[in-house]
Amino acid sequence: MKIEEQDIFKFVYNPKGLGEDKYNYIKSNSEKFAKELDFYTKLKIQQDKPIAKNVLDKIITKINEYNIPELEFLKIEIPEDDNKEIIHDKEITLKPESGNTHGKFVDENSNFVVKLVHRGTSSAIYLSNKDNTPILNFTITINSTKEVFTLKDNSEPLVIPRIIELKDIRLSFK
Amino acid sequence: MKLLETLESLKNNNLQPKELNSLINYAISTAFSFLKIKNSYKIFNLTNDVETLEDIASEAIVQLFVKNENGQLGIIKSYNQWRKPMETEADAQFFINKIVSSRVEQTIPLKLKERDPFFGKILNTIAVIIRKGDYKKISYLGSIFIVRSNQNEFVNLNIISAKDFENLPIKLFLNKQKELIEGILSYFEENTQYFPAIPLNRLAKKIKHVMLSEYSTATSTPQHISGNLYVKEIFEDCLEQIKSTIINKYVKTKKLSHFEGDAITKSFETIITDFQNGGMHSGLFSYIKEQIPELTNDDFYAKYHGIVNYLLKKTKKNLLEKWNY
Repeated sequence: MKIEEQDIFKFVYNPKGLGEDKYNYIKSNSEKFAKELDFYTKLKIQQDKPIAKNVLDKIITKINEYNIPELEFLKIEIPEDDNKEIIHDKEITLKPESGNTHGKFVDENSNFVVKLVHRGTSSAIYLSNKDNTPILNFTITINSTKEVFTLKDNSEPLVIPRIIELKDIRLSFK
Repeated sequence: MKLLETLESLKNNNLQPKELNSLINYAISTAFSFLKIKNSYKIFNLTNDVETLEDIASEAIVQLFVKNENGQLGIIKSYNQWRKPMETEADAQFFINKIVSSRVEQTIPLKLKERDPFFGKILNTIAVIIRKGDYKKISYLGSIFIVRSNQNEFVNLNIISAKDFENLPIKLFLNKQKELIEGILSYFEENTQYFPAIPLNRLAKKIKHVMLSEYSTATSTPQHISGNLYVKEIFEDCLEQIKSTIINKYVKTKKLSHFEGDAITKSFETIITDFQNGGMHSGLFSYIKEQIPELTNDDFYAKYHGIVNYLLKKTKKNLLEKWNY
C-alpha cells in the first residue's frame, strides 16, 4: 500500500479524514512509520498547547507593523481569547448618551456604542463594542420608521441616504 | 476552527475578520510548534538578543498574509498552487502545516544570511546548482532536502541523521558545483543505507564550517585557496581595511575619538571572528557595548549606529568579493 506523508499526518491529526484501509495499515505497521508518527505526534502535542496571549499579541502587532510600501498589507486585529464565548442578548436598545437625537448612543451596560453622524444629506451609523472586536451578523432597527438593516459585520458604517434623528436604536443578533 | 471553510472563504474573498484572526492564530501556533520540536533555531544559534522565537515565527508566516503586486495574498497563491486534494478538514490542516513548515524552513536561512554573509553566498550557489542540475528540493517532515529530480514523494525514508551527516567525509564538501551534490548523493547510494537526500540548511552550514573554520589555515588543502588568498588572509585583509577606514575617515576627521575608534576596531575583530564561526551572535549594539560597557542604547543610535552599520555592510561586501565560492 502506498503511504504518503499526508496519510501519516491524517493518522495523527484527524484519523476520520483517512480511509479505513490506510488507517489500519499504518496502525498495524506503526514500527515501520515510527519516525514519521513520532514527528507528527510531537508536533500535534506542541500545537495543542495554547500560546500565551502576550506572545500572540506581540506577534500580531509585529505583523501589523510590517510596512511594505509596494504591497498592500491585510490589516489584522488581535484576536479574542478563543475560549471566551461572547454571548449577547438577542436584542439591545441603545439610547443617546447626551440626550441628542444624533451623536453617541450606548446600551445599558455600555457594551456597545453607536455613533450617528450626519454627512451632508446622508447619515452614517457606526457600531463598535467596548473590546473593539468584530461584531458579526446583526441587524440595526430604526424604531421610529421600523426600518431594519441586516449587516454581516461592522467593518463599514451603515449609510442611510437622508438625515435621520433618533430617540433610540435597536441592535439584534441572530 | 474550521480550516476548510476558512480557506474557501479566503479563496472567494469573503473572509470575516474573526476567521482571519483564527487562521493567523493557527499559522502562528504551527510555526511555533515546528520551531520548538525541530530545534533547528538552536542548531543555527538563532535565538539571542537579535531574534526570538516569536520573531522567527512571525517572520515565517507574515508573507502568507501579505498581498503581492497582483493583489493576491501569499496564502491564496499557495492554495492555488496546491496539487493535493482539498476536500476534507484534514486536507486543509495538512496544507497549512506544510506551507507553514516550508516558510519556517526558509526563514531560518534568511535570518542567518543577515548575520553571516558566507552562509548566504553558499546557499545562493547551492540554489544555482539545483536549478542547473538534475535535482529538486522536497519538503519532508518539516525539513527541505535536495534529491534527484526523478525522485517521487513517498514515506518512510531512511534519512541521514544530523549526527551522521556531520561525520560524513570532509572531502565530499570540498567539491564544487555539480560535483558537490552529485558526490554526496552518490556516496549515500554506494556507501550507505541512507536515502539519497541532502538536508539543505545543514549542507550549507557544513560547507561553511569546512571552508572557513577548521581548514582555513591548512596549507595542504589547496581547495581552500580562494583566488590568490587563503581564507585567513581574506579576513586579515578585511580587518586592515576596516582599521584604515576608521582611522582615515573618522578618527583623523575627529568624528570619532581615538578611544572610540579603538573600541569599534576591536568590535569588528570580534565580528569577523564570529563570521568564521557561525555568524554574528548578537546585534551591533552588543558588540560595541562589549568595548564600551557604559554605552546606552540611545547613545549607540545617536553616535555610532550610522558608522558601524556602514562599516558592517562594507565588510560583508569586501569579504564576499574576495571569497569565491
